Amino acid sequence: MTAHEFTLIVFLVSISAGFLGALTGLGGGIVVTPALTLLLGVDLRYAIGASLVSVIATSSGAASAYVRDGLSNIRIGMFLEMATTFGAICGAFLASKTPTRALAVLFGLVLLHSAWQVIQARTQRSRAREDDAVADKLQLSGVYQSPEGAIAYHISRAKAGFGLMYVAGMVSGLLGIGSGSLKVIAMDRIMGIPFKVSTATSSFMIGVTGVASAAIYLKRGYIHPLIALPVMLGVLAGSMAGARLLPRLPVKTLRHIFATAVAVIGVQMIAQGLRGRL
Amino acid sequence: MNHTLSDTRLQHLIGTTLRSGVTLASLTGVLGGVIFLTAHGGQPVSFQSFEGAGSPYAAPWQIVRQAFARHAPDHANQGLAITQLGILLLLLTPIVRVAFSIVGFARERDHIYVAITAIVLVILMGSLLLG
Repeated sequence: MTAHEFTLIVFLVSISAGFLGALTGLGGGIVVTPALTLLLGVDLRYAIGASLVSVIATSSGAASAYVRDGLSNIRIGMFLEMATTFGAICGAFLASKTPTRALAVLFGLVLLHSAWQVIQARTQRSRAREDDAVADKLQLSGVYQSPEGAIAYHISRAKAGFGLMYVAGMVSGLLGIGSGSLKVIAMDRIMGIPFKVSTATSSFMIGVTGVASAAIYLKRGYIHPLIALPVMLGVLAGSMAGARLLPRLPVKTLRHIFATAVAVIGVQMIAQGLRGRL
Repeated sequence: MNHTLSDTRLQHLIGTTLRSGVTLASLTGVLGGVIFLTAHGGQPVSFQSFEGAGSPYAAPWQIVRQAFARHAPDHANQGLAITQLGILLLLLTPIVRVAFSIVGFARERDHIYVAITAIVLVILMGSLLLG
């Protein structure tokens, strides 16, 4: 394949991955890595390097909108970023010591879990009525605007959330993904933060978390400009198109179809990893 | 909530930083990509086995030096170095955003958050410079 053909194909594949990522809410990074490795035979390390670059770009783009809307809570984000960035560095170091086939299997498992998360119906969580000691000291509580007016919220179990955020950062650094779904679990289910605020704050945090491990990927040679550039531009374009089309599409049906596709890709990753082909 | 007003202004600054960073990084990346593909677009490439990105595209200072070099040595390509410079700019964007947040919290005399944000900045800089 010539450089011309390769960049064009990678660009097109990345547009689709970004589109799929936006529609499922999983983000483009988690789809682009299996696409590069399974379809185009790109080495997993180049793929996760390029994917992480695209994750940082989409997160920064999306976060700027969320920040303007006042949905993301900057204090919660900053507090938890201490955990995610440290975890991300540990994950990136671990990635260079882990055989690629093990990474592929882990990646497959994360894909399966993500697909499950998308299909699962979201039930109303009980919200915290008052801040716990840590949240109170750090003034983590906030207010957000909803169609029904301003809604105040409180934060519980800040320490447990902080701990899970370290794990989320580590997974992000290991696999070159945003691990947004783990971040949302930590905020929404453990800390009792409203879902909208959780997703907005998560997307705001993903860029900073990603940079902590991307800097290490860069020095290890995982980020090749010829792959990273078309992946970054493609995923950006695809996810922006996806986000724009989202309100006009039968999202529920599509989500189920795509989640099934993500699960199938997950099984593929695990199978190829076990066979040692990645 | 006694910090909403300045928080809002800070949020605007952060939002603008993020958007301009991504735009600048993309434009720089495309410039380098066009330079590379014009000169070497027909040459065969393969990424099936991992060899690493190679020496001038891995360390930040080497990327900058190679991107701005007047006479690029044969073993490296200036177009690719410029693309990698774009990616480096993208990595710097969230770091700048964190630095701005420190200034914002300092203005509010919010000492706890100045410290928290400084810790995040130190982790990021450590990763970029020492990693």
